[in-house]
Amino acid sequence: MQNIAKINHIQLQLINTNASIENFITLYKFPLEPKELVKSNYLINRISKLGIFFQTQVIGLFEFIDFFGVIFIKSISLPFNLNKIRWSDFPELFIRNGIMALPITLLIVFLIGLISGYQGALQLKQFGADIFIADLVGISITRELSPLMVAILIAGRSGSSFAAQLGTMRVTEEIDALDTMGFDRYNFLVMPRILSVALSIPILVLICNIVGILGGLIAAMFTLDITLIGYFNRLQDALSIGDVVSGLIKSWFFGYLVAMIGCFKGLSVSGGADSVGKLTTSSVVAGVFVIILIDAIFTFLLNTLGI
Amino acid sequence: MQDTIIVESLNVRYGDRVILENVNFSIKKGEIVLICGGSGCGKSSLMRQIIGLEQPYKGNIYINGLDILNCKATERNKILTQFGVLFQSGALFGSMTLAENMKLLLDSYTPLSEIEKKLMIEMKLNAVGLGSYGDFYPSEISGGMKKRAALARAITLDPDILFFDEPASGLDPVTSAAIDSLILNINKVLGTTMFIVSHDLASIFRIADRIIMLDKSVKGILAIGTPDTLRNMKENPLVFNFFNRIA
Repeated sequence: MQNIAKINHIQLQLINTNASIENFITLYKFPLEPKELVKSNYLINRISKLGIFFQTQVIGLFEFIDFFGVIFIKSISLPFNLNKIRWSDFPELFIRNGIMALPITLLIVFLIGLISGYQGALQLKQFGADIFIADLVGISITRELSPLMVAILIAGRSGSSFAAQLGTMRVTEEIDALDTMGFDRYNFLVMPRILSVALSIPILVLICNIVGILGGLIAAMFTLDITLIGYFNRLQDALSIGDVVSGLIKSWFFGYLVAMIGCFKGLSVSGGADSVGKLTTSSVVAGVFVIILIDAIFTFLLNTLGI
Repeated sequence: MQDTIIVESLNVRYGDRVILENVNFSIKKGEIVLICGGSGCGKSSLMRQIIGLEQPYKGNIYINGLDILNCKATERNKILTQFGVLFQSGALFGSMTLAENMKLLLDSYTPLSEIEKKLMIEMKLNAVGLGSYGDFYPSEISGGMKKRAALARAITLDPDILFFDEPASGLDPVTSAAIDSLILNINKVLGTTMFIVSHDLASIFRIADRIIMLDKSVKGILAIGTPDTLRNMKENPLVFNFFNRIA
């Protein structure tokens, strides 16, 4: 009321009020002067907010390019700067981001193999092409499904964990402390994390390939009466080393970028817990988007090259 | 006496917002200088510029004679080993024990043997009254102990200069007084220059050799002098009221 009265130059007077109401009004008296209470234009406000949003996005993009550049140079010069990386954290990070991710990735890829086997079997049966189930499952698991599923799980597990960890370290001034002690935050925190994921993800994918193919085998045995030997004989003919290697190379890129995005988001935290939560979520979304984008690029390139 | 820190024509801005304008002062070796002022006057920002966490909009900062804003990375890293920082939250590394927090610095910057490092860590932890807590993680100790542990880490390399951001914040008066005693003791024994950001009056009068008071209205230094000078500065009501307020 005080606010509205001030804007409209109306004198507000309270009559017949008791002391407690007057004290209450005094306590919450509106502090602004009339000149500050200018009604803002709704449209201008919206446009201004949109402008600020795009400005923030563009700044964020440039910051990521800058971060990517630093990490790229550090990765290339890694063989010459091995002693600068904080390797003491690496075994624990490798176990946490690689070995401990194994049960869930194995289960998911096994189920994906089983599902694609069942779905494929239904179609192939109609054309009497039962034995080609081994081709379908083998190639789709090694080239696409296993690298993709493992990478998405790593984005949800490790990418988010890096963002939350480094974000919390920013909030508690631990990153500032590192800087003032003269330690390079990239060598100390970022590189061990990226390497732990980039080196563990191809191993995870390789193991998941086997389990996914076994999932397809179970589907084939139960729906198409294909024998174990028949399935693996066909798989041997259908699957080339190029299929497996292309999937592994792709997974390395996925892991490298997902870990990098997680670390970037974590180091971008400013303010408090709210920012940590937002950027952790954002790290997963951006990670999954980048995985799909890189996968599309790889698919196009490999098809063009005939691999 | 030689100047350890020199700040010349320092301007600090965040976007269009001017925080500090044309700030000039110097701190002599072994001096305890307290930076105080109301909230949002730029105390912590000033410290962050001096310790190199943020780049000023304009101005020069010299530490031990070295222009830290325009020096080579190797020279800057050398300077970083000459000062310790106690952050408001302590900023101990949560994944390491207190001893490991300190060993990190000894591993990186000293050629000491493992036995010597262990001895050094014990000495520093004993100095802050945490001799038996070396194997504890920061999450396992209280707020006051964290501050003391962070102080032990800050003095691990026997720095020439110590920076403190609100050392008394979140502490009870007894623990706060204990931290002040530690600061005085370190200054007396090691001759360390102290740059302390605080607005805790009890602390200010207990330990300060000199006070620099910042204020939003002038976007810089409002007053500078000894605690007694500022407490009796009746000609400036802002300063007089600040130092004579009843806590």
